[in-house]
Amino acid sequence: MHCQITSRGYVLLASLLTAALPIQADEAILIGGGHDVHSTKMQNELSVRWIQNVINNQEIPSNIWFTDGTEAGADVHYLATDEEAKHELMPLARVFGNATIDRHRYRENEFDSVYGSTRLNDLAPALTTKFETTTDQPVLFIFSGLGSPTANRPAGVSMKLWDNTALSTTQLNTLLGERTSPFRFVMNQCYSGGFHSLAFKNPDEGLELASGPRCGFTAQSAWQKPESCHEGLGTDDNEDYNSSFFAALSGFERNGEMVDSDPDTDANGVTSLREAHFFTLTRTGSVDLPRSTSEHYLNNWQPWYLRWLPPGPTLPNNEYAKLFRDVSVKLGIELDSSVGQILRGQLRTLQNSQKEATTKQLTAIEQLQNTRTILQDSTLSHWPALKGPYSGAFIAMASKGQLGDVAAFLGSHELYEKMLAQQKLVDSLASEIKALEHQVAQRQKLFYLRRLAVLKEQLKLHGSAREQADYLSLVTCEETPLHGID
Amino acid sequence: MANRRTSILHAFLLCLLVTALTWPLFILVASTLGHVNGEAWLLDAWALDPQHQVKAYFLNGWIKSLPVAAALGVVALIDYQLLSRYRVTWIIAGILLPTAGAGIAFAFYGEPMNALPALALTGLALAIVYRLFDSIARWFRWV
Repeated sequence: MHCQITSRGYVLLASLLTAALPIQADEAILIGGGHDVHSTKMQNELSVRWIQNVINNQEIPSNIWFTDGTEAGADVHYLATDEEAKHELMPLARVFGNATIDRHRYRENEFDSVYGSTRLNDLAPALTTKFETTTDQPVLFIFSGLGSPTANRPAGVSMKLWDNTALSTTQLNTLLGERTSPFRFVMNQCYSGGFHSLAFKNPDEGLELASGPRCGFTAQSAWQKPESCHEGLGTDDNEDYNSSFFAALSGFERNGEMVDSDPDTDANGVTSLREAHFFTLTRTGSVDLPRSTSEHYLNNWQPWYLRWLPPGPTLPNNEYAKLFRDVSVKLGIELDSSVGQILRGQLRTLQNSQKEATTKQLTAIEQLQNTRTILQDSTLSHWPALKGPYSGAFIAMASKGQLGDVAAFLGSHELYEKMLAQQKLVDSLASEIKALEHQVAQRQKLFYLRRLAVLKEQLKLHGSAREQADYLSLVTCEETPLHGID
Repeated sequence: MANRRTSILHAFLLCLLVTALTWPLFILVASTLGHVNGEAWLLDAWALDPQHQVKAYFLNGWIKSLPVAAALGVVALIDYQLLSRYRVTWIIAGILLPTAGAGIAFAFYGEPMNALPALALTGLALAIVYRLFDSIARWFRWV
């Protein structure tokens, strides 16, 4: 009896505490860009700018830290279109250089007002000041960039920052200090899941929550690379986690189209951050396996005597089971009692196809390299100065305009067309592998959703009152809309 | 005197064997069952999480399960004392282990029917090990 009262008391107390807190984001911190110009894609800049628009439309003050800030010099790269990329020395670039890098173009970021650079020495003091001046306000922290992994502790993952600096989970936790007002984060970098450790008193161990509400949404776990780590610079690419997430919050995609389904699942007229996360989970076009802090909590909470047990024949009735059904329907997977076996079978087939395509791609790359070597040797026998680019002989040759002759020689070489065909094959195999990766990820996501459905039920049955209250407080933290409900 | 000492050693080793193998056999049985219905956590964890983490979960479970495993070791010992030493009851020797497995499912799990197959089959696997150990001991006339 005493135990029951304590259990209910904890849950009630947690509900009251979280309900009493101001729930909207009063300040947004946006950090974007890679660690150098080669890792900062234009797509990243577009995404950050679009997120800023979504936030500004909600009348939430925001500050942006992006690459080198306002310093002079290129900090963003993009891919030239086929038309722009054409130049008379193209055969030379393709044989001696790199076809992809040949298409790279560089420019300055086009933000109207950037608060500063993301260089750790600049960013860390700025964040400290920001956190100090917002001690009684909720903060939404958004990172759109790249991350680095950790060998064995999730809390060791980092955000890669300008000039090859980095901010780790532990460092950010130190900057946050004993802050008690809500801190929410949305991150799409590689290994971003490690940042869920911020929600806990000891980021490295245990499940005791930090003093203030802290929760977030990440594109991946601490161990897996997300979609945003993959190549892709198209302006209409909406599949990265942050873009989908803010599309749900704004109701519009980055390309201006309306979102294809209503993210406001409880139909209260406002999309919460948690609903936006669920919206991204139902998307089927990326390799991400996004997770929220409450999901991270469920995964870490699961006791040893439940972890290895196979789930029961029926799924419990909760939001994760619904998401599982929605994604299954989207993928055309029949929902019957053998769905687990069907999914596992599909996963195996897709992974085998992925392996085959990878082997084919390796062979194709080797063949392409062989052809390039023959072409290089053949050219070098005529123009030995090409061996040392930027050498005196090379510069003399270039100043006489002979590079055009080299390009013409290569363009008319019998093997050149073969090399182009081989390059095309390598590219098409890369696309095939990526498509397979997406399909594999969708099956893994389905297993993940099923697991979350079971985990949530297990917490209800086996979790202590304290654990259930902590989980509930994380969910409440996530159920906040971008702006408060009146 | 020597026989008595051998019997005690045999009983001790049997208890130790069951205690040590309970957790690995539970993982084997649970993962096999999960594999059959396509939903073994291990399969996904092995693909998505680093192996050191999966191993850490395994070792943590092994340590945490020791009290339960030791209790099963005692059950094996009682089973041995009650059933294994007599020709008539020897046929059903080991039956207390799957029974104890089923008992654990009903006593400690919120949804016992989900845990029952894995725990009862773990008990059965332990009974097979126990019978095998007993047969070997008899073969070499240790007991």
